Amino acid sequence: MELSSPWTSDQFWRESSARDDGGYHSFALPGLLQRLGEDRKSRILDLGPAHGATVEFFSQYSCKLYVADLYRSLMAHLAEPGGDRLPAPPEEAEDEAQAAAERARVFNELLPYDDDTRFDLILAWDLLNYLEPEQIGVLGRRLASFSYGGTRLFAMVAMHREIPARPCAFRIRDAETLDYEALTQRTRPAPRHTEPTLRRLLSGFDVASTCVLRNGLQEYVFAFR
Amino acid sequence: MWKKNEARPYTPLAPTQPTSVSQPERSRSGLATIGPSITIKGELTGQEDLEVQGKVEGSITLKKHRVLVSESGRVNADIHAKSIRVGGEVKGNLLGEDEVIILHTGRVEGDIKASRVTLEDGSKFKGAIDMEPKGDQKESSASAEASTTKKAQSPENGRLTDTSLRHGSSSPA
Repeated sequence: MELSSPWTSDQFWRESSARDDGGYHSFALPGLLQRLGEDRKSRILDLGPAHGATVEFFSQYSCKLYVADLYRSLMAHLAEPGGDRLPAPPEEAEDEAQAAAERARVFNELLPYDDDTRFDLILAWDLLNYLEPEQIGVLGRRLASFSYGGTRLFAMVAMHREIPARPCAFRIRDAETLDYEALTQRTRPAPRHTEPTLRRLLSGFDVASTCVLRNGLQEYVFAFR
Repeated sequence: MWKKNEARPYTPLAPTQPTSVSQPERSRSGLATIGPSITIKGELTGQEDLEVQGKVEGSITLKKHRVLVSESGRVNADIHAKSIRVGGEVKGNLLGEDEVIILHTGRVEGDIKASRVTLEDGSKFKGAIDMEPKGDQKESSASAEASTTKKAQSPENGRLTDTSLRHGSSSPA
């Protein structure tokens, strides 16, 4: 699916990052928030970087907000000696089983929560655009271990050819509006993961709803079964 | 080991103090500063506000007072204080009786529990934040002291209003 989108333009990112009100209406967000805090303290996992506005927003709920800042942590890991083993594709790995175990170990370290932790909502934002398929698979398995029947995973997949070189900063403005900001003017090719691919990689999660937005992002809500 | 710095007014934190007389008694002995070349290992307690410019490993417990980890500060410890501001680096859990603020230069790895948590743009945080709806904050405070001390907790109290912190400008998130 090819969209004519401002996301393909480097100029757009410069402009959008300078805008004060670069928000958009999210079709998924209201439904996700409606599930929170009805009768108990909710647990929310934000895989993106911490943002004051999002923290402020969730302060109206009885919840525990976990901030993983996963992409930055992953990049920090890759910069460490031996860290470059993580992205090795199977055909390059000497021992695929060993490589898979190593990838699992890394994500276990990056998401170091107690085994009995169960999240109600997981916010992946645009992270999946920046992970290789095998990394998404490992991440999906790790997230599945913290999920239960009510868990919802929120993610956005870019539908265009280029995306910013690293994940955008997303924050919740209100119950229907998200703001985002490109943190770099550099771009990279978008993987454009398809729905069947994501369903296969995120084992245990079904697509509960999806919607393509005018800005070229496709919102996904995955439900853990 | 501790460098008193009474000659230098500790204005950066002053605006966050509610002016109400009902607030917990504040230290009158000035501000304790752990200078940038100082490293402390162990359990740190006291009855005055503290600024950490150096390194601390262990724990910091100043339940009725304020702790500022300056930009040069490196803390590998849990901090329990009335108010905690982090402009430097903290690896440990933060328990703020009133508030925890991570300034734009701040980096925190650990869990936060406080009535009010503020993350400035640019700050780095990894961990969990325990939150209660604002209307339930007083009732849900984990602190016995907080529950027995009538606090002046208007929406403005505890909000970062000063923009002239010594280690750099700041803007409310």
